[in-house]
Amino acid sequence: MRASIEFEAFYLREHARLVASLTALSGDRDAAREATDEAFVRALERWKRVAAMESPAGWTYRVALNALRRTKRRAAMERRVAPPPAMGSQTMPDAELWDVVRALPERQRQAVALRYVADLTEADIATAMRISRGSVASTLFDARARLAEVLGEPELVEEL
Amino acid sequence: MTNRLERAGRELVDTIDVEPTALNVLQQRAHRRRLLRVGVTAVTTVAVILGAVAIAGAVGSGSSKPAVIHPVPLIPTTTDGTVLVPNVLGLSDKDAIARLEQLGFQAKVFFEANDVDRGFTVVRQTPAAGQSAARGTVITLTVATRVGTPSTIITPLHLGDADNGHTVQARVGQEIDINLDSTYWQFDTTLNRAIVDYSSGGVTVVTTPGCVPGGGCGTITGHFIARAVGTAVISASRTSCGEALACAPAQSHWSVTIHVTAPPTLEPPPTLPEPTTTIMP
Repeated sequence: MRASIEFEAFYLREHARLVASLTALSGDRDAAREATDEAFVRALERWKRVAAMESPAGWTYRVALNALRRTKRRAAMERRVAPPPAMGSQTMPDAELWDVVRALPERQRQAVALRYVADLTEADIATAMRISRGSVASTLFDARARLAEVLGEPELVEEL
Repeated sequence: MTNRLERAGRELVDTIDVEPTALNVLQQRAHRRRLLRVGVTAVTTVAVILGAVAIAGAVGSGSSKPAVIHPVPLIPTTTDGTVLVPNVLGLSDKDAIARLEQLGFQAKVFFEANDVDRGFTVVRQTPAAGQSAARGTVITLTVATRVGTPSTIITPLHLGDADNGHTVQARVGQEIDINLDSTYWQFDTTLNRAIVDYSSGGVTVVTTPGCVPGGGCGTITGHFIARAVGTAVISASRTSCGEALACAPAQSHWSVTIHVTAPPTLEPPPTLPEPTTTIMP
């Protein structure tokens, strides 16, 4: 039963942050939630193996990112038939920032969401995105530089 | 940029107004898939009780040999010794209270009428899931009901062998637990379930080791809930009163009549009046 305790603690810690991260990425809470639930169900199905991994959070986030991509693909197809519901980032705090984040290339966008919303470590992000830790750092650097440029805060690039 | 991103990220997590999916819902989905994978196709009811209760199935050899249920406390703790508040949204009030008490929390329950048909499930909790809190902290739950008047917690009504033939009053939303000695009892199907229904606790059978002939081998507990105003009869029957021992007619039937009345009208919280139940023999 040890496994159940661990899973519950993991779920309590990560569920809301994962939903928030995917919302930042997609601007669609329902899709974010669906993808999050899917990832947690998969983690639970094989929890023993996932728990033994170096980064259970990274693995779960990766599954969620994939699930989100599938959901969005499906939604894009449905949109050809029916227009999407009026929904978006207007209700998010600092919507301006997230709008720009969503316009970043996919890899940068994901790295930003995982680092600043999910609060994952670079190691967890590396697992989630299947890239090296060095790439995580440089991707985040590029993303911040791009955001600073677009949002007109170029002086802050120096902080690195 | 780093500061702004960090702040925006934190704010987003704080304001993301998504009710977390109840853990038991995820567990049921995972469990169903596992069953499907091993080739069991007829999956109808999956009873995964929040990871909190391990069901050691004692499969019967012939007649209705009951299962033994061992509750196992599972406590997700943090490093400083506090406990993570579990997510009990979507659970029945009874399951939610059981889960919280198991983790050392106290529960305070408010019932509220809710248009959404989520009868008798927890729709809000404070503090929220995932926060850490000391043991003994009171977690406030709001439970949706389908009836009009807000009320506060109503303790369960406990009935047993001695209540046979009695008429008992209950209130809408009140749990009724019936505990009968001997595992040979079976609740009858004649119950008017619009008035009194099985609650999510269902029927549990607990065997005691080393049973004495004539002294019983355990108990059967039915968990019911008063759903609507009206009258219902809960009855149980048995044909055997022990190994190969037929029951005398007076020992083979048990019943109580439940008069269900509207829930009490109360001032809004915080004062919680003591619930009252009247037993009329």
